[in-house]
Amino acid sequence: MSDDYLWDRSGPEDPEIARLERTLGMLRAQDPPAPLRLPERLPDTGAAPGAITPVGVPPIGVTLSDGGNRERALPGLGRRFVLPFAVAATLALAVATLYLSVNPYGPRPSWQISRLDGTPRVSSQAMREPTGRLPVGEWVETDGQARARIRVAHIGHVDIEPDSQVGLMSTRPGDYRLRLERGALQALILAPPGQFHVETPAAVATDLGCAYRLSVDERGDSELRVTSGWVSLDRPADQAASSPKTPPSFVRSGAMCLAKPGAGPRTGPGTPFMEDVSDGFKAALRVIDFGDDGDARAAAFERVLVESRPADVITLWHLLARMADPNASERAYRDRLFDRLAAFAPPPKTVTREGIQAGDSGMLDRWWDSSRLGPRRSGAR
Amino acid sequence: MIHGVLLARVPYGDVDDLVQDVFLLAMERLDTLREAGAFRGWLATIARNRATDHLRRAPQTMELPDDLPSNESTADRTEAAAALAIIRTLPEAYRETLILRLVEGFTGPEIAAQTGLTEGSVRVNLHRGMKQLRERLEQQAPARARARDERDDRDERAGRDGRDVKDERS
Repeated sequence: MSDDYLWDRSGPEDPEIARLERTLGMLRAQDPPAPLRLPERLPDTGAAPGAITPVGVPPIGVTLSDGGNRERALPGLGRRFVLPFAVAATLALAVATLYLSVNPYGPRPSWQISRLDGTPRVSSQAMREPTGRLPVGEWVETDGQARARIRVAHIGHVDIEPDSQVGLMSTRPGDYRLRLERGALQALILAPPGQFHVETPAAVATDLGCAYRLSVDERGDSELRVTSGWVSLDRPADQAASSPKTPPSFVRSGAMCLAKPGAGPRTGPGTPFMEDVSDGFKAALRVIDFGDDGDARAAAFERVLVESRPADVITLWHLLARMADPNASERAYRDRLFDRLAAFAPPPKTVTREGIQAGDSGMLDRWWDSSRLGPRRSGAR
Repeated sequence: MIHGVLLARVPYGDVDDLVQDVFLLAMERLDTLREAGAFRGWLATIARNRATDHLRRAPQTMELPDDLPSNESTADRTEAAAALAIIRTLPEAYRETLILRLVEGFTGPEIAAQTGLTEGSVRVNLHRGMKQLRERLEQQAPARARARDERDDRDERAGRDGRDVKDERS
């Protein structure tokens, strides 16, 4: 079914969306509350709500300035209460104004953002100045001509490419977090591993001391290319609970990794591979990671086993790690993957074929660490 | 629109008060608005910040009060609460857009105009948010059906017990 009904209610009605509209519609904003009527002698506040009304703001429920024609209010109170009430109200308004001018929302963590090209939009407003602030919870959008740079606390920066949408999710020390909803960004991070994260619809990229490019296409598929250091790619937390438990993908400099959104098998981060592998090798991995079962899958395993080189040990290790519980037809491939990986990176004595066949994740990690395939994995799970 | 922005973040019972707060804040800070055309996006930003501030200070409260202004049945209210709870578990980018579409009744182009987001972003958020919402509704469908059956059984037993008491008295 097309998204026309979801977008603007054109096209055939989508029954599920229509039902949600009916059900959730009961939570819709009700009529504005009755205006708060101010006492006859309340001093003029000087506020000018009329400045807001031309752009279509609904009433705020407070009638402040309508010339001398204020409605008579508080009819149940005697005139002796009016003056104390007015004084108290004025004092309260003054205190509130002072508080708001000093600290309108409490501390608002934000990062500096700079305009590199064109006119990015920050917090839904065109960015006119060369630099500005991006508060937590807000978004940067770039069109086909715009680029922007976000300074990530004191640990690096992120360049946002054209046609992108990036949100700032967290600035807590140890949990610096952006979300890339669409488009692409390039990150350069100089910080201890595990502090900087970029969420996408399909994965979470965690910096392990690195530079990388991350992109998200219109389907939400993600592509990671690491140009320096290491990046881990894991499932988003909200998709992990209902998905097979697999170790995160560790992607090294010169390597790539794809990810597909969704929960369940054949989604999430795929197997990392070196950028210089053949197109056929890449296609075979795509079938293994995201394709259906069947003959194509068998052919894909064959291709990877035959074409893999010493430089592809990371690919072989990840494939082996994801075959902890293979079906009968794939058990043979697990044994051949073991042999192929062992030929390029001999396992330590404490790692046995039987242990790997039994899905012993500790053995897999020891193999990774002893062969110095990348950052230590033992204890990382 | 402000109602939807807040509902994406704070308990239903707090939304109306916060709508008032947002407009009062907007009046106080009107001099910080540089472009009249950006007013709605600016207002949405104030609402998001106010919601964040509210959550930081106030503990989470019960989601839907019994006096929900609606003529709908308890079952409908329960379903609305369940759907809202699921939407709240979605990534933030989808949450607000879906609530503006499904609760407040705006179309995609209207959401873009109201929030200041580009139509491209709104379209992506709607499409991906709805996809995830469908998946999670599907996952929870068996549990919801079981809860509905149990509720029906309970109601039926309560009705039968009531009739039994009447019969005994008569």
